[in-house]
Parts: sequence; structure tokens; C-alpha cells
Amino acid sequence: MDLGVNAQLFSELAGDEALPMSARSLATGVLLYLDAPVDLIPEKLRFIGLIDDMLVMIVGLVIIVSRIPEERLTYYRQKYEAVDKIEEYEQIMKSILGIIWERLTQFVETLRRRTYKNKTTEEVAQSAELREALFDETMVFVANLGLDPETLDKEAKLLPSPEKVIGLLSNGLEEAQKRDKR
Amino acid sequence: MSVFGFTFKALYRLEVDELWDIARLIKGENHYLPKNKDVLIRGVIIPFLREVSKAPKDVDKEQVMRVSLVKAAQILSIECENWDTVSNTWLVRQIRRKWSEAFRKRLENLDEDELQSILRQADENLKKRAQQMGVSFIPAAGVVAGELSGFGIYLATTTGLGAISSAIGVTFPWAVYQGATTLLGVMLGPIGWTVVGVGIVAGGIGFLSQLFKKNDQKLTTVVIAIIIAIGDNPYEWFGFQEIVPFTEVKQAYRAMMKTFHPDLLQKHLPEWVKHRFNELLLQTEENYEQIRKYQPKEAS
Repeated sequence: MDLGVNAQLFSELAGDEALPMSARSLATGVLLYLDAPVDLIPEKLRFIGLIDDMLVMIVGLVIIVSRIPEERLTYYRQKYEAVDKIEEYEQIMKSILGIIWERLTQFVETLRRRTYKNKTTEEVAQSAELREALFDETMVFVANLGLDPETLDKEAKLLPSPEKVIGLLSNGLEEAQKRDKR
Repeated sequence: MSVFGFTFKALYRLEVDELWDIARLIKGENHYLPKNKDVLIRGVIIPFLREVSKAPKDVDKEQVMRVSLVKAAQILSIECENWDTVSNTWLVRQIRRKWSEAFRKRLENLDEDELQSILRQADENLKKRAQQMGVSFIPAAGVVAGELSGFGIYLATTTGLGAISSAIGVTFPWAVYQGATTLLGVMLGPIGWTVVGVGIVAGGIGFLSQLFKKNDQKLTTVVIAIIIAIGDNPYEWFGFQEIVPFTEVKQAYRAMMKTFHPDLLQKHLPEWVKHRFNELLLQTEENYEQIRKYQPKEAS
């Protein structure tokens, strides 16, 4: 689950006319979040800054996948690995994050109300030109990250994959539990 | 006639590694880039062209390519009466011609050490290419050594490049092949050179980046690198500089098919030569089809 490939997945979801409008507008909302300068965790913190993007993408996918009709879902499952694994991710993340999970889903739902060039996400999802422009901007975002996996530490090396994010989160949770017991 | 347009979608025909090399020229070698076509084209190359050619913000990608083409032509001081009405193919052809002249001049004024380093770079690139194509590797210096030595290498490289750099691996006069069926002929002849030439120019792009360090000139290198790699004018494959009547293309096509056809080749040729000939045959057919598609029905 690479950042670049993921942006591709969401742009394809936004342009797919077979999907309901709620799913499409949410996909554009997630793309807008990737591109936005204001994040939960700013991208200036090099590798930690990507965690919130990963979380938003996973949560967004969970919500969207529940709204995709079955015929299209088989197509997406074959094309993207992330869609295929999303149920596993959902269970693990729910167990780790607990209450925060619900807050996150609420937050991701609000992404649908964002605006891009004075247009709402629904309008962006409907016009091909605006979608192209938005996808271009996210591609610029991915290109400017400049994260070299070879220079990273071993732990941070695989950060952009959801397994690693989940692993880090669960490690943090275990440590917190140990502290509580003491 | 704008059949062979130079558009943004043509970039997707390049391979990921080639795009990656171009993008690294822009971003610098220390900046990590994912090997993904969308990221490289839309995230790096197009925004760079947009910025440097000072294209207006609301202009779309195709027009950005056009604006930077014109800008590159102006930097190379190509003369033109009206920049708005010139076709893209004309611009590409002029830029190619200018660039091959400049490249040849530069090669003639090189030290021997510098040339050696270029040849070495070319060898490495060639090795990669050869592995991709399944052709056994011939070192650039090895081909030359059969005929020349010392300073002769310079001249041989330049004359070889003169033909090749005008459109990398795409242009070479078909008539030259008609006698070249023995191994030595193939090794020392134009086929050897084309194989070497692709490597040299692939290395040359990296080499040019050291030459031009200003931003404006960097633009020309990037645009030119793209143009060379695309090189999609099928008329040039048949050795024509301009668009000619279809009957002439037909004649050239038949002559080329006779030279490349596997049944007419001599049997003692090594496998890789046969393989290369087969590739040339396929490419000839492809280019011929491309021209035939756009003819009126009576002619075809």
C-alpha cells in the first residue's frame, strides 16, 4: 500500500460513475486531505507525519468499501491489494484504537464538506477537469515527500505500509498497558 | 499534418526507468522518488515544465508541453516567422537537428579522459538495454577497436552519432543494410552503431546535465531528452526527412523487408543478430502500418 498507488485508487473511486455519490465525494475528500497543508500531524515531522495520512486513507476506505456495489467491489479487490485486506485492517484498528476509531470515522465523514477551488466535493467528483487537477496536485505532494527508504532506520523503513502503522500503534498500546499495571 | 503530435500522453510511452532518470535531473540525486509513472510525469516533469516555461496557471498539460517546446526552440536560436502556427513535428525536427550539431561539436572538443568516461557510461547503459532486449552485450569500445584506435574513436563516435542522434535508434538509412549480412559487416556496420548509439545517448543525457546548469538550459535538456526518447515519426524510419508520397514509402518498405526477413538471412549468423534483425522487421512493419493508416483509401 504505497502512497502513490493509493492516491490512484481514490482518484479512480472518485471518477467511477457506478458508485453512489456519497462514496465518490468521500474519495475526493480523502484526496483533498492528502493535499491539504493543515493535517492532524504535520508532514514536516518526516515519517511520523505520514501516519495520519495512512489512518485517514484506511478509515476512508473502510467507509467507502461498505457502499460499493458487489459487482464493482470484485473489480477493485482484484486490482488493489489494499481493498482486499481492508476487513483485516478494520478489525485490528478497531481493537487498537477503541474510542478513537469512532472519533476518526466522524472526522473522515466531515471531509466530505471540504471545498476545493470554491467547489464542494460532490461537484469536484462530478467534473472530470477538477478531478484531474486534484489528482495532479496529490501527485506533486507524493513526489515532494522525498522519503528515501534506504536511509531510514529499520523500524521506520516500512512505515508507509498499514501493517507497520498498525504494528507501531499496538506496540505503543502494549507499553501504555504495562505502565498502567506498574 | 499533425498526425505525430508531441503531447503529454506520449510521455507514458517511455519506460519507468527513463522517466526516473529525467525526473532525477530535475529534483537532484538525493531526492527520493518512487518509480511510478503517474508520480514522475504529473508530480515532477509537468510541474517543472510549467514553472520554467512560465506557462499561465490555467493552461492544461498539453499546452504546457507545447509552450516549453517553443521555449526550447527559442533558446536553441532556431529561426521561425510565426511561432503560433508552427506544427509540433517541425519544431521537434529542428530541435533534434540543432541538438545533434551541438552534441557533435562538443564531442570533437573533448579530452581523451572525458571521452573515456562517456564511453564507459555508455557501456553501462548499453548493458542494461542489451539485457532488456535479450541481446548479448558488445562494448562500445570493442566495436570501434576493430576499425580504429586512439583519436579515431572520436571521429567514429561523432559520425555514428550524426545519424543516430537525429532520432535515437529510429533513423538510419535503409539502403546501408542491404549488403550487411556477414558478421563483421554487422559488427562494424550501422547495426553495431545503432546498438552503441542508444547507449551513448542514454548516457549523454546524464552527461548533458553536467554541461547545462542554469535552469533555462535545464529545460532544453529535459525537453530534448523526452523528444529523443519518443522519436515517433515513422517517415524517418524509412530514411525520409519529410512527408513523401505513399508509393515511395512502399518501395522502401519492400526493400527493407527483403533485408530483414529471417528466411533470406544467411544461416551462419549468430543468434543475437537474428534476434536484432527480427526486432527491426517488426518495427518496420509497425511504422509502415502507422503511415498506411492515414492514407486515403485509393492509395492503399
